[in-house]
Amino acid sequence: MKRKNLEKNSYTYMLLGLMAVTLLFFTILKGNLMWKGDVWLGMAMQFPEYGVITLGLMFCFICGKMDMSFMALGDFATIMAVRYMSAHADGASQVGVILVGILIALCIATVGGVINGLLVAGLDIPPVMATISMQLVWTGLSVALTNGNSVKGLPALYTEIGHKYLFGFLPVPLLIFLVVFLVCMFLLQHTVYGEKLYMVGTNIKAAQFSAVNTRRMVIGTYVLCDVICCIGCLIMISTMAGAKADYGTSYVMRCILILVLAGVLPNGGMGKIGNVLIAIVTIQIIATGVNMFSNLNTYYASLIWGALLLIVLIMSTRMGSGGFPFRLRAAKQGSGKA
Amino acid sequence: MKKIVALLIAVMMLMSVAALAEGTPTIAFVPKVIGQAWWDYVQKNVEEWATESGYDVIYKGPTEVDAAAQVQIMTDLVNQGVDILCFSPNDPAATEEICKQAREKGIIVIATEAASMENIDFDIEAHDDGSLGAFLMDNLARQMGEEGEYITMVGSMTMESHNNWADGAVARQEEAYPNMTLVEDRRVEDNSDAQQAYNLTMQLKEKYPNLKGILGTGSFSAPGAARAIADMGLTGQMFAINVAIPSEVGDLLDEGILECVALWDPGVAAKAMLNCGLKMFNGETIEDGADLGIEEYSKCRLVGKVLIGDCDITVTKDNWRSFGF
Repeated sequence: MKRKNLEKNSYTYMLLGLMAVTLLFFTILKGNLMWKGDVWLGMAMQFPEYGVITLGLMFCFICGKMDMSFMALGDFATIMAVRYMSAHADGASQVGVILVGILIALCIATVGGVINGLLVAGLDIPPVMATISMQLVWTGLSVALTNGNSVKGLPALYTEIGHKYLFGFLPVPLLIFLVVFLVCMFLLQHTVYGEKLYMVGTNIKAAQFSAVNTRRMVIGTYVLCDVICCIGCLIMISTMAGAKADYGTSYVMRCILILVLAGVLPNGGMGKIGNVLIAIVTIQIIATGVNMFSNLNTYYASLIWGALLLIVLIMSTRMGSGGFPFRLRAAKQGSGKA
Repeated sequence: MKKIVALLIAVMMLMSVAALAEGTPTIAFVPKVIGQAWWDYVQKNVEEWATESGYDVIYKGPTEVDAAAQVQIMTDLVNQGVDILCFSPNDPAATEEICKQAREKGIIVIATEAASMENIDFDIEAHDDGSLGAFLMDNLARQMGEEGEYITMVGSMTMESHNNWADGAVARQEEAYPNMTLVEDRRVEDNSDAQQAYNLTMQLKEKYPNLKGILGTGSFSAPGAARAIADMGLTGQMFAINVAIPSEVGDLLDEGILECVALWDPGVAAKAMLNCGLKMFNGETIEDGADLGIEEYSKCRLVGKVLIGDCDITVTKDNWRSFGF
């Protein structure tokens, strides 16, 4: 029994091992900086924004779909929200204005998700093509609205939230991340939706024949993905004190990298949310770690990320089929996906 | 197993002790982006400064022009506890909060191209708009022999800096070169397009046969105007100058159609920022007329938090290759 569990979780152990190795690496080379409290508090402030976005994209990946539009959509939604909030910032109730602003952003994200879903599930356009087109549309709209400038004037309360520590040590963005994480975990592991999601991702035809309304599943998943991504963007605008058409463009590749590292492949049907958390933290440790070296340029972070990804891929193919999420050796074993 | 853990802890403690021993300031420089010619040139100068002064400078920037990624890097540096943070923001307002935190921690914050920022110690600029215009005019007047007709050409009337530079140039001419005349009060627009600048130059020469100089403030005006001058066979009799990226006008400089273009030296500006930070770290006060230890910044004017130097340079056929951008 114990042996079986070990095998089932071997991928998680491998990721944890890698995280430990990177920590050790930076500890040995930059121990004095790596273990400063400020550095860890800083990281806890930094990863929630793209961490939440990654969690959103995870649903798309598990469903076997791709979304390239989430960042552009999130930027557009937050631009609209900031415009509303700045126009009403001097009103009496800041809280009310902020809530309405957030609601506006989430509504736009929902619409964007529905459009993505309809394009992919309704019109059968390949997901990458459909969502890249939508990415261009959203970015175009944002630039047209703002001339490419950033939109400022967030209520002071909103920007404060992004930098506040609850009880003096718990950053609010981290708290939001944890809440979103728990909700996602519940959705994936304890609901019918989660179960169906893995089914659709594994084999959409088989799911269809098992009386799953796959079209509704795909549309719903895109909505969920884009709404969660939008929450990430809402955290981001608080750190940036404004919204802009191209904020966070570098997060698109970073999120995809994290998911693949965590074993959530866009082929669908696989991956565990716990692994995603480990991958997010590992990526942040590397980014922060590389910034400690005066003579390493930022490209080295990408280099280490890439190397890590390769190590994970190689180790996965070497390990048994037990708990490992990739099915790269599936053909050999004759038990691959349809 | 226990032995390994013990060993690791010992190593970590040694590292911490080693860290406490050093007393020199940690300096960080965050460019808008890395891996781009303009900023590669800045990096070269920062490294030069580091070897000359003997201080370590952490040069870190985002790999894409992304304000969010830049703020993340600045957060890392602030939390590591650098002593001096120099940077050039992609989006000044987005960096206000992290700069505020940095200053609360006692970090010296020096910016450039961010004159509007509040949470900084100083913003260092190569010039103000008027002085760059005057600089352009001085160079054009020298070529024209301080007499003759000229016009001003801007990228577009909506570009505030272009117009300010042109205003500065005209003011300089009125003050110092009485034998020169501006023939067209209206600004000519080339819409940031070298082909349009070419056509405009042809048309203007027909309208004003005695036209002798074209003062452009957009980076496309002189390349277009210079080609037109060469095609009309007027090289050496009619002149153009503008603010330009060296590599875009390199062949025109080599052929002698353009004698020079104007630019500010971003490398020298970076060194001035580092010097300013270091001076503050050593407890010196920076005030109007401050000397930042570099010729171009030996008498800085202080306006609010903005320190203005005199860093404008001419790019000629002899030096355009040294910039690499």
